[in-house]
Amino acid sequence: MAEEQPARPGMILLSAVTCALLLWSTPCFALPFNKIKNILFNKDGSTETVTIFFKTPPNKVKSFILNDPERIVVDIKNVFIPQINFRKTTTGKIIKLIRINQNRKDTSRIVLDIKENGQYDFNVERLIEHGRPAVKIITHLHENQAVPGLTARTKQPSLEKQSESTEKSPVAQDRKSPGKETKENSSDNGEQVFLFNDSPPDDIFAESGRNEKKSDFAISGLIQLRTSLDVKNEDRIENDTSLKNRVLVESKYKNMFTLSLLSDYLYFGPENKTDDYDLDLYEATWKYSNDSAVFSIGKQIIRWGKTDRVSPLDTLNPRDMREFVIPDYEETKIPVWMADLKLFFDNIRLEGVFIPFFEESEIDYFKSDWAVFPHIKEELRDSSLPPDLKRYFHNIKVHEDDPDQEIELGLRFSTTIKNVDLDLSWHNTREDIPYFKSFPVKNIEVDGDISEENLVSSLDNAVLTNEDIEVEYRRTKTAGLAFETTLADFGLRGEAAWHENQSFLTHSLTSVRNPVFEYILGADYTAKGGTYLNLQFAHRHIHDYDSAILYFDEDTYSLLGEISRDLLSDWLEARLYYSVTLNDGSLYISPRLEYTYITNLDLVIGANLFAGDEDTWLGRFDQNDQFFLDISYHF
Amino acid sequence: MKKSKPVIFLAAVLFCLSAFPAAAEEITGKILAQKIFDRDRGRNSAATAQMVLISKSGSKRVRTFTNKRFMEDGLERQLIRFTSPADIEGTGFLTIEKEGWKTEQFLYLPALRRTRRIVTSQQSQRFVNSDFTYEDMKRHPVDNYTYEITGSRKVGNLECYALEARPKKNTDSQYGLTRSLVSKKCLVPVVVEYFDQKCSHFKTYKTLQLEKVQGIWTEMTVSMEDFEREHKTFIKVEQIDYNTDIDKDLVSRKSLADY
Repeated sequence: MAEEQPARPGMILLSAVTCALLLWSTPCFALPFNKIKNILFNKDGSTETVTIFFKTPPNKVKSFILNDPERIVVDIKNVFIPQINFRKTTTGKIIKLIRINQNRKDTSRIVLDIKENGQYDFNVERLIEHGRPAVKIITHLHENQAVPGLTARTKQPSLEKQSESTEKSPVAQDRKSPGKETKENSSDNGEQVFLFNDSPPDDIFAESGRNEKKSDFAISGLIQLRTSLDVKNEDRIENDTSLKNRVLVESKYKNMFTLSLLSDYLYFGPENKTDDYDLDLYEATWKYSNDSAVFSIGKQIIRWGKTDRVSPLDTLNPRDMREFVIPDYEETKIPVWMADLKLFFDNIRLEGVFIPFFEESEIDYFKSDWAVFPHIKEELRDSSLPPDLKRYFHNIKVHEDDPDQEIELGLRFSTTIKNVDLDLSWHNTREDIPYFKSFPVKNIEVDGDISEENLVSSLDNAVLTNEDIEVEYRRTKTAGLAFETTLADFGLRGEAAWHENQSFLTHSLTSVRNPVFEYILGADYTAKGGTYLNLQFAHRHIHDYDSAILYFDEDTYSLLGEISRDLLSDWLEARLYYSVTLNDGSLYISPRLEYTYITNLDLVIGANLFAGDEDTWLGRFDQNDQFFLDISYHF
Repeated sequence: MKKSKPVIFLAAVLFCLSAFPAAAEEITGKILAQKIFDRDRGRNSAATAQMVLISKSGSKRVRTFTNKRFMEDGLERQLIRFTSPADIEGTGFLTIEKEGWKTEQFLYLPALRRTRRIVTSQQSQRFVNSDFTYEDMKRHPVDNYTYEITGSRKVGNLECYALEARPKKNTDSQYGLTRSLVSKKCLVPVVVEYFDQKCSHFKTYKTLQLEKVQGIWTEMTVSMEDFEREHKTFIKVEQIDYNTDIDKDLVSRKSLADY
């Protein structure tokens, strides 16, 4: 025996270790058979109950109180919870938060965080509730009334209590508070059921508080930066880059007062550089609203019309046209001082608008790729013209006549027939775009490409008058009809407008005015894969057409709209804006990617591309093709 | 007018489902669907809530909104207005039920300063990039579907009917089948599994927390998970009041555009 013992010490040790590991590993990795199935919170007056349901009756339950912060703790042995932890805020007066975690491998711990609302009692019971084993933690807030059967456990640190092990009768879930029932159904209030297994993480929702009162005063705004770079340098003189920065800060009080400021910076360069900066009152309105009327007065934007991006009836506000069609339509609108009254009847709405002061659209005459006479002064300066003539052109100025009668009136009648929304509108207004009364070089004839070459070639019989470019804003009237409806899978909308007169630039670089009738019909459709299609057809007829008019035929037809599609989840979208003049084939397209992954931040990257003959409405910007980046932050 | 009959899609988020007494009679699928619809949800309600979107990568977007609901002559209208974050603030969504189940939906976008009608082709589109679609945001006639109670199950401690609903031939729906577990006690759909037209399960709605508010069972926290997009939406009601002095005028096209 003595000889055998030294021969096997290694084997014995190895076996012992293996056995120990095997024996130890079982309690290490096995989960208790019993598990928590569900949690229910119930409040009734001053009593709040948390009921924990189990797969099988729990055999060991221990409860006690811990302080700083005060909390009721219930440990239940041989039970596990089917998720890492559970946290739920409650609406109770006593229990602030219910937490459950796997305190030890075989023990689930339920913690009830207590609000500091005064003294309370609590009791823990094991019972069968709705035929299922459960542990019930009953708390009661002292309000000069004792509830029999509950044990006082207030503010006694580490007080431990072994709960009873026998099953009790179920406690009614909807208890009545004696003498406290004041409202119908109040006895039913407050019961909460947590369907445990699918509970979201508690921190998924932002802290806001149920009873938190929102302030009547709100400040919001937008910071926007847009920069562009020309696709290629095609013109002798052109702006290869641009930068636009807008900061809009808006304050609102009770949706009644609105006050906003706009800081607006626009740079074109580096060649023939210009930069404009304005800090302006943007909107300042007071609004009153009751059941049958809305009245607003102040500097504001009011949108009429129902079509997208081009809207012949949307004539109330002028627009910032310094970048032609590059900005979003809504971004270009300029608030004006006006009073607006809307009266609501059953199925009819009447609206009247009064505009006391005229404000024109913003347009650059010179020194920008998008200007009416783009870089013509600088091009002529570098041309072969005699110095006197160069100087003459260089000194040309624009003189705008202030209109004498500025008041504008608008009326709109709206109704819905079946599911067709209809607007009839009339606007006695003044054109927001300039009427060129005279040009200081007479007897010339240029086409729509207003360049140095074109101008020089037309100077043979020119007469110089030593005057300014005289600009006026003429009165006109617009009346029309707008509609919107849905038909099967399509959204349909349209506008038809008659303009008493509209100004058009001519070969002589002065304007003529003609009556115009135009309409737009549009439809949009969302395909099954989520692709959004928007198509609008526009027709403009110029009455008493003058062949000297630039850019537009007597009848001009065009298509415009957009196509968009989500590429990645809800934060990367591809979009294409398009506009095609069918008469001459000139077009504008703007493909772009819109990235909105970060809340309140929009990033748009894309291109603005023009094509067509240089004397056409869109083709004249053929050399302005650009890539752009647009960053907007909302706050 | 014949009383409208809905199926149990999401219209229920923020709507309360009453504690309808468990029926002693033998219940059929259609009767169950009718009872769910007929539950007392108050004359009107006003609520504030949070919507949380969880993307495939786990990123989170939190939105808050208000909801006003008004019932008149069995027809319901509901206005949801987003109050945060800033890039969606002011966006409003209005649903108006009209006689003959001609439900109209309108979306107000403050940036455009105008209201757009939601068309049928957009019904399967996601509502503000959540996992709820425009179709989920309205009630549907019971008569447009066939029903079958396929059994009963427990969810938590709630005894539930298992109810299947299939659209009838002429019913336009993105769903070919829905399987619901409806609490017998509360008549609240606590789980709804959505199947596409090829009967592939792609989306599940769950009621995560129920609370009785003013005697009305209310889904306080719900989720909708889209398995194809691996995207999930939670909605938590923070405050809800029933039978308030809310005016019909506050749930109208006038109010929708008055922001």
